[in-house]
Amino acid sequence: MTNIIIISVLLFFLAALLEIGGGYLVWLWLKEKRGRILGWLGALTLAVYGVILTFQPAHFGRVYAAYGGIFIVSSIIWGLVIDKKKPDRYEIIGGGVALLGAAIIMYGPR
Amino acid sequence: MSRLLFVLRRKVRFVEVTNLNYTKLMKHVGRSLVLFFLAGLLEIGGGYLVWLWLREDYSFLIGALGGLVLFLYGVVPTFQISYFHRIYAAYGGVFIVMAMLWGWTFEGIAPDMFDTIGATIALIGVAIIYYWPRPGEVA
Repeated sequence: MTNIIIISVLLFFLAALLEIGGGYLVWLWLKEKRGRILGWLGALTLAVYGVILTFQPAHFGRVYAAYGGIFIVSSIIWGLVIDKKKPDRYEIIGGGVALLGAAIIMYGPR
Repeated sequence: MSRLLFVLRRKVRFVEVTNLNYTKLMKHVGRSLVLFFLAGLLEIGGGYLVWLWLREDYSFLIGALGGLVLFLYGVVPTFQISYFHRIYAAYGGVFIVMAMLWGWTFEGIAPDMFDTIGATIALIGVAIIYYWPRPGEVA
């Protein structure tokens, strides 16, 4: 059981990396006019993201709340590392509130 | 009551400072919500098609279509007017709610009380991340 959870979380982090990375490449192509090749690369990355999700041992459903939470944190880290944009106060507070919501979905005593 | 008025007045001031009138603000909110919703639909739908190809033995064409839909998902956020990381962080909260609605619609898994409360709180988080007025910020 613990193994499944660890694999699940690692796969979600990998998926978030591919999803945000792919989206970023498409963004560079369309918004920053950095060349069509980056757009193609982004499309490929997003397709690989779709494949990675199928390795997920857990079923579609509540676990996806966890993925949403990982995604929020990853996006802010991406902005910090790649775009060198520190999260402002409202991104941090709002991110925390959204994570709380995800935790209630995941761990609500049923 | 006076507290409420105080909050409202502050809000009005923020709107003035950011040079947005009410109609413009509502247009901005409406437009971005449609884009968030569309992105969620394309991401979960595209992921589902790839899933059908690899896990349910549907044909490769379904998988390829899924890849194309995922690419379109990547295009949608470029129409949002904000920073990349802020759009994606807010989208994470939208995704939580949409994955739940997807499970409800297509797999018949109804959200229970904790799902509903958690989803509502996640949306409040999204609203703070994305719609909190930042005076002076050009976005």
